[in-house]
Amino acid sequence: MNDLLNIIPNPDPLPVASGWFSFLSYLTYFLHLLGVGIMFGIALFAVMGHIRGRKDENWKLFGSRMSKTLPFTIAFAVNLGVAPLLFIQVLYGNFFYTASIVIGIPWLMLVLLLIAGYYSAYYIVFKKESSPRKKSLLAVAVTVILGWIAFMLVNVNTLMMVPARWKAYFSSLNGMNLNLSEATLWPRFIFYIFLFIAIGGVFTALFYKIKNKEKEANLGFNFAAAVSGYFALLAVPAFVYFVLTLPAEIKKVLFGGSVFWLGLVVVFLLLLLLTGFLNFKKKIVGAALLFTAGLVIFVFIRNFIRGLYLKPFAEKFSVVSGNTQYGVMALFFVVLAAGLVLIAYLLVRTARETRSAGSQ
Amino acid sequence: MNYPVWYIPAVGGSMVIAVMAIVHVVVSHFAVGGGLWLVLTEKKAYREKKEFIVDYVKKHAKFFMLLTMVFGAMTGVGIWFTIALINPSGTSALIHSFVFAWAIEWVFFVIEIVAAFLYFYTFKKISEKTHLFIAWVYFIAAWASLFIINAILAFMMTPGKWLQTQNFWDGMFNPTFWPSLVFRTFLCFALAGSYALLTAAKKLKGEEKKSMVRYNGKWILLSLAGMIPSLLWYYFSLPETAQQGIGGASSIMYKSLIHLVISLGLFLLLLFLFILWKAQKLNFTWSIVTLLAIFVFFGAFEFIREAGRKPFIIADYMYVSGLTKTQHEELQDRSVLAYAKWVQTKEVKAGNELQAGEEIFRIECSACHTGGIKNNIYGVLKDWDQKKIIRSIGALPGITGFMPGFVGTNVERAALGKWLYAVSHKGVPAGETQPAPESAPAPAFPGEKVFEDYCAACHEIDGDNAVRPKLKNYENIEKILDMLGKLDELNEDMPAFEGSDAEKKALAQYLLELTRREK
Repeated sequence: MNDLLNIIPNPDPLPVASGWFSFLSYLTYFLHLLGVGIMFGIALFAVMGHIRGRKDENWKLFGSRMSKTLPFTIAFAVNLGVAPLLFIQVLYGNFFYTASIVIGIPWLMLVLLLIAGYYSAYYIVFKKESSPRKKSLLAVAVTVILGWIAFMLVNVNTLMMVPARWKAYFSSLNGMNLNLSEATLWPRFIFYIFLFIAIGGVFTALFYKIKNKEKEANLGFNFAAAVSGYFALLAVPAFVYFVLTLPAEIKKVLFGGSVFWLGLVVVFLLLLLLTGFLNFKKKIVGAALLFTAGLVIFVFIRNFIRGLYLKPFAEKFSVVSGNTQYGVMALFFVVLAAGLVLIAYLLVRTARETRSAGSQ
Repeated sequence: MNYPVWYIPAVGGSMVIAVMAIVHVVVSHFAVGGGLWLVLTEKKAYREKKEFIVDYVKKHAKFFMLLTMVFGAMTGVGIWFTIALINPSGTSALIHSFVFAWAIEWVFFVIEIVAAFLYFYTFKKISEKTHLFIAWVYFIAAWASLFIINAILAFMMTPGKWLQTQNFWDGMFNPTFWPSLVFRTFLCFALAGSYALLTAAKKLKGEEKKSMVRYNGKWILLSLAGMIPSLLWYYFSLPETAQQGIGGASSIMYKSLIHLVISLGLFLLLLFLFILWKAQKLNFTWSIVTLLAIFVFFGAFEFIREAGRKPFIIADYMYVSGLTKTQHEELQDRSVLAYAKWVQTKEVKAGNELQAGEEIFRIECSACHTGGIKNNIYGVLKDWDQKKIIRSIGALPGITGFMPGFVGTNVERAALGKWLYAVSHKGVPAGETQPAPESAPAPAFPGEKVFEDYCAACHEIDGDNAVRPKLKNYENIEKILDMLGKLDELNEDMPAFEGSDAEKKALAQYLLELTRREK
């Protein structure tokens, strides 16, 4: 253990108590998760729409609608990822940076791939004259890129919790590594992919419930709800599989040490099942609400598991310094609140004007 | 040394960050200036009731959205990834000091994205008043982002009172904050106008083109009227060492200054030529040249700024190697290998010297030096013998003023020197000097060779860090010998003379001769 403590970089002091950063990282990670789920689901639906749209007009409209929405969702998913990335660096920067250096090259490639994926998404939208085949292929490329990025994030997030595996650095100083020997890597990744598709499905169905006058609304609603239903159900065994691959000492705490956390795991799985069921019943509002509640619980479980992994290295956690910044934090909350009000105002004012222009 | 080093010696981490940062910085500045350009040009279109200007603005806005939202935003995320890979200690120090500044900047980023989408997708679908309001929101949010990021960039160069207080506000409003902010703001406008020149040249024809070229030209000239004085203000607010560097003490900064002046001159020339005189003649090629001229100007400015804080990542606080100034002092004459967390060789022993040397290079030098395309150290050392390399490592700050002093024991210094010799002299056995060409004349004074071996790494006779002027008051050999005996007392960056007594005497004789000879 001492060997491992020796290689973990010493942390920098925190400007406010760690609880604040935990709160902010939970909140923003939850929003990021929603954003990524919607983005990934929509990318996949765009693929389906373009493939099946060659023979069916409604599928074509569906594919086109999904493609048009995709760039927005990429912008917001990435943007909402910046905040949790910031807060995790404050709390666990010494773990996170080290893990990212160990997988340096593939990690940095993520940025280039993201740019390529994002431009491809715009290409589909702005080059309307492209053939359906080209659009399908580009949509597939975007989906694969987004999936790969998720895989890289799973790599770095699992690696940061296991300092024993950081020694891979010495076998490849330029970071040409991946965390492939991690037992939870694939189950975790598969679970996330299922979760994303389920999120994308339920919110796409919700979108069509609101925009029910669109020509492809019926198809879009039914398809997205069904996909969400199946993948919410598939996420259950994937999550169980993930939990079973956790290290024995973590499983012991999760299953034997704490009724509260075990209870949360059970509630989360029940919510997934219920979401799947409500999706099949086309009760989309209920499904979306329950799913959102489930995701909130999942964020807590995820962070609890990370806490268990990192517990032996607690002496390397950042702690608050004498030079605190509570006033600056208060300013951040004020700016955040004002920013949200401003955004809401912009959206409402614009929506009102476009509606009234449309009705004239 | 707290973190592992992402080691890519063929390219160098600083090259990776330079590419990512240059792209991002140009695009993000363009995004700020473009915000105001969109507002004012759209207003002009409504005021003058010219539909072609509205269309021109819309086309511009499409490109604007694609460039800033995709390239700008994604390379912005890329910079986070890159700086954390290349300088995790510096990144961690900045993040922990300014996390809420970044968090506030993130809020402005969200507002920017929402406003940019709304602006583009609601063209002609909502009232002019609301559309302009959205554009104002975009511009103000983008400028607010600049306000914050500028503070952090300026902080890295001039942390000011923060060094004593560690207070957030002292760090934000540091000595170069305001001049840098004003300069960057006007630069943003100039960049936006320059790009608009390009779209005017490409998308418009006839009188429409002429009027918009003139309009953009005036826009740029007004921007320059603010940018050039604020650049001078920025220069005068820089620390003395950086000013000296720009004045010639640093060849990189001086060369960048030359690029800056030439590109600005070219930019101004093109502006006068095509805007005030022959607006109709501005074609796509010349507008690209104009845009490139301002890119080079901007790049040169950023190069000067980056070089100005070397050898620090945060001036007077943390070196580029990731060691704080305090840690650096503590490590003098202590084993750096024993201290570093991420090396495999913890002690230099017979048989592992080269491996230890490479590890020391990785943790102390590779943040700036590579064996490849950027700041290639092998090329510099290829004509040096091993002794000279080892000696020079002990006097690094004296060589350029941009390198931190070596930390570690003498044995570690020797190991680093031996490894550097081995990699820069492939095929020449260690310890051997390069044989002098037969035709080379023997030096007139034996001391000339001693000067070459012991002093020339940092000093030239009359050039950089010249010795001749310093010898003015040393009119006899006793005085020179006395001076050579206490070099380390004369200047803390100079090591004590390490040669033999005979070598010292020969060197003194040569230096005395120099004082007698004319330049």
